[in-house]
Amino acid sequence: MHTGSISTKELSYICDSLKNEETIVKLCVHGAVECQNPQLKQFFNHMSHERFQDFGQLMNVLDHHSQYS
Amino acid sequence: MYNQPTSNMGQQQMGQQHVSLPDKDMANLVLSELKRMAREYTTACLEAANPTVHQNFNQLLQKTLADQAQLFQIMSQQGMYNVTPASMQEIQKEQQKFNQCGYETQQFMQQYLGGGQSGMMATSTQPYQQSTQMPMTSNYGAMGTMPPGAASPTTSSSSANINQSGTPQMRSGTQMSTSSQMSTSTQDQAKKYLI
Repeated sequence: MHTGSISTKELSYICDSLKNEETIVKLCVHGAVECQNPQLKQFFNHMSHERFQDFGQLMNVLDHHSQYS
Repeated sequence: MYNQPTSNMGQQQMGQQHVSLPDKDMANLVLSELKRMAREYTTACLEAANPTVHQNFNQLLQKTLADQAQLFQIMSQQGMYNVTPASMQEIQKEQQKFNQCGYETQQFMQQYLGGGQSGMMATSTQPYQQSTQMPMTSNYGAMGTMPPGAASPTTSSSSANINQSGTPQMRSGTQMSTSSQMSTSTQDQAKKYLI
């Protein structure tokens, strides 16, 4: 195994995490639209964008390691 | 059994309606999701062999913990999350139980680490008894004010003393003193939980 490559276990955790990030982004969007409380609304709006960046970060890890597979 | 068109008509109509969760439920749902994600990132972090992957999981874990804390704070401010404080009786009960536990742990440590070497156990109790009556030595002077988690650097500094100890002819005498210091250090750490 190449030192820069990732294991099947790590790949599995990355995929699970991507799914989690996708879910939380959608939940946050839902919260940002539906919540009546302005503080919660703002928090969910902000967090949806932040978590989508995290989704991108995990995708970058996959992109970076795809060259070793 | 599940496809009964006549009886499910009402439910189908309800399903077409727009259902929105109350704010509190929505916040609780996201909070639970963040807690679950933090647990999964922790596991992923612990299992990751690749340093880059580990670092990424760790960053995302810290971010998830921060988000969870922020949401909890908002919920707490809005009265959506009530924390029940522990009663003084409960705290004292646990304190008593773990005092005993700490005492047993101290005994265990004295039994196996007390002298630093085999055959030193009889003398190892001496420095500890002295340290309870006398002010702490310069090496451990700050121990009393340090939090429990901060005690390890002192132990490592005493280990460094051993490594810096001098020539072979000095070693036996030096080991006696450093092992006494080490036992004093570990005993002082254990003792803090007994006060």
